[in-house]
Amino acid sequence: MQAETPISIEEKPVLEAQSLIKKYRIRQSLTNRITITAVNGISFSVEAGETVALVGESGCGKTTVGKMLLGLLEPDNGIVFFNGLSLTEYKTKLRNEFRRGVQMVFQNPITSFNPMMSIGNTLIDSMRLRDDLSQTEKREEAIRLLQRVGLDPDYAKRRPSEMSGGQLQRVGVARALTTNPKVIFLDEPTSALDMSMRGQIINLLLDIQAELGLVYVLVSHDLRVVRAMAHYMLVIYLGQVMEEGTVEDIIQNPLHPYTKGLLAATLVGHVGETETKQRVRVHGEVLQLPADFHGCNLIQRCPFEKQRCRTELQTLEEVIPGRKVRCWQALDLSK
Amino acid sequence: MSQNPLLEIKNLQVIIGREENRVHAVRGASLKINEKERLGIIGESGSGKTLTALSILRLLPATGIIKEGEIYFQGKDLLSLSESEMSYIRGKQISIVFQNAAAALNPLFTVGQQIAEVYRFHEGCSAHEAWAKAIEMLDATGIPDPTRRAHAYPNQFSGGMAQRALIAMALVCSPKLLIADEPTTGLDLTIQAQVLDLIKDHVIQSCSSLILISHDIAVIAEVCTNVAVMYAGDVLEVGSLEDVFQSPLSPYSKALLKCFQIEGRGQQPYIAGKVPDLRFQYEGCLFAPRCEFAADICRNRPVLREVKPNHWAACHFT
Ligand SMILES: Nc1ncnc2c1ncn2[C@@H]1O[C@H](COP(=O)(O)OP(=O)(O)OP(=O)(O)O)[C@@H](O)[C@H]1O
Ligand SMILES: Nc1ncnc2c1ncn2[C@@H]1O[C@H](COP(=O)(O)OP(=O)(O)OP(=O)(O)O)[C@@H](O)[C@H]1O
Ligand SMILES: [Mg+2]
Ligand SMILES: [Mg+2]
Repeated sequence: MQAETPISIEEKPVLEAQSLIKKYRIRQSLTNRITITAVNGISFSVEAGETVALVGESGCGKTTVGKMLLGLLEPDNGIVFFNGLSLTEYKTKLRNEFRRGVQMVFQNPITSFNPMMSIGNTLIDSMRLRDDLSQTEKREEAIRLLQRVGLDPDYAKRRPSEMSGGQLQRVGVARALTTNPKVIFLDEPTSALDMSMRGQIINLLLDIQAELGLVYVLVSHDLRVVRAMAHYMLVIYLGQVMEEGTVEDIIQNPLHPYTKGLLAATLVGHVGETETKQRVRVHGEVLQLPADFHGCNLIQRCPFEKQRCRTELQTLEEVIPGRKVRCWQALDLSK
Repeated sequence: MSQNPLLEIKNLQVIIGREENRVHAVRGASLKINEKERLGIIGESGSGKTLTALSILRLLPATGIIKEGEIYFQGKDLLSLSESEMSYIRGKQISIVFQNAAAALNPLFTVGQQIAEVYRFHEGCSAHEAWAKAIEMLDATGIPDPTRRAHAYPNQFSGGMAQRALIAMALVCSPKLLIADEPTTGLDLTIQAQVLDLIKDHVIQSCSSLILISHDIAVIAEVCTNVAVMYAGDVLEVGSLEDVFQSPLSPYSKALLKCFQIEGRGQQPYIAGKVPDLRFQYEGCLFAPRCEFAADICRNRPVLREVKPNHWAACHFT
């Protein structure tokens, strides 16, 4: 029997993260260890049927946030709520229910499968927590899911090496669905695929979301994928949210210099569009900032840097309803 | 085209792989690139972009052979040169930058040594001069503190810096033609933008030409003046960036370009069907099985022809 918790979507978001903080001790040299703040106070909440996107470059903390949402990593501070209960409450008695409820699709379809196991057995294996199903029912369910993601039942017999990247990513989606989840964390689900295949996986994910009312937390550095899939986005840099708002608002009118830089590098829309818009270039590479630094994290990379940016604490503030930005210049400009 | 092209590829055919995996990877591709042109090659994965580029430098993997075709560079037939003649062209006249910089650099030598070595081989100067040139190139490609960084080993470089170093090495002898194969895939967006600026600025300043391979049209649009669209080993369309991107002729180009035009949240266009199995030979148009306009006439392979001035396409319906 599967004990369903009563969900009241109207009152509570399905998934909520409150001021998540995660620090790591890393070795800088043989003798010197420093603490880095991989995730520095990230909050968001998502309702059924909605997608929130975490956008940012390598090392900004996206996967670390994901691990905390999946309960694989304990935050140093902050709380994750799933269906109104904090993860610590699930830890005790409802553990399996939470594990069934929050699933993940990995970035690289090829390395995320056991090469020795057939696709059918992979799916059956991930139904371990489905104590509501008999072995035969699990087999039937595996076939049903394969068909749901657009694959022939015959594929159940195949090994991962006998399938293309796009087909494997479909299996990745099927595997995430085996436990009847409410939330799926999608870590760069299409970055290993080419553009035509990308469209097909995006469409599949959108269909499934509409059908099952799933929450997606999407990690992607491709703003085109974000635009196709997400309702709301958080632009993250060095563990901090620099800007957040609805996807269309941000794409039409980015406020933070970092967001502008990302958009200029993606060319969302038609050819020639960036020619007319002002191109913003973020300089250099990600810096390791000293622990006692309290200015803006984008320091030395921002094309609009002023003295105040080095010394003044930048806070995330609501500029217009539903839109937040962490940059005093952007705030000044919008006043 | 009135100009004498810098590089001309005619009916290139490449076969690669062993036994049952032997594929006809390039199937009669033809391309031209003039001086000062920046040609982008786009196409789905497996369309033969990399093998076409490698054929120009005669650097195909061991199982690959050029079955047919001609490649002229400044009027010289590259395929008829001896291996030692070819080694003077590689790195000096034509250079290539690959996607995976970390793998392309030798882990046992410092970055400075590797750049200096290329320069010394081609220019025959002193070790001292070559080292100074290496530092100059690192500086020109935007590596901070180049005098110190020249002594670093590749594993001490970030992905973006290694890619810059590789570009420095490719440009050190001021080649007439730079080939960049997915030079920014896997790099962060802000770094990608910097690396593309670097390539574009250098090619413009030195009046050289560029072949840029990518399956991202955004990258091509940023850098190139011209575009070639490849599918299943053949070139289906060539023209100026504006012509091909704004008024594509081939149904394949149209379908491919549509995949990039994301206007908002919701169902996305894609190309239905599968790429042909490259192990076999086909008589007709390679795209016909996936093409909505396919008709009887498509059982004959269309040739690349000039449909409008300087805008070429291989399709019976253009
Ligand atoms: N187990 C760990 N121990 C120490 N540091 C870690 C650990 N995991 C992550 N980090 C560091 O935390 C920061 C955030 O890493 P994270 O993997 O969350 O980034 P990401 O945004 O997912 O990056 P990518 O796009 O490369 O996947 C990075 O600086 C990373 O080096
Ligand atoms: N070393 C090799 N051995 C066997 N087959 C190969 C080899 N290299 C490439 N091929 C095959 O040749 C065809 C063309 O490959 P190529 O690498 O030129 O494609 P591409 O257009 O560069 O694709 P991508 O965008 O994925 O880089 C593909 O079917 C590929 O599988
Ligand atoms: Mg990650
Ligand atoms: Mg390639």
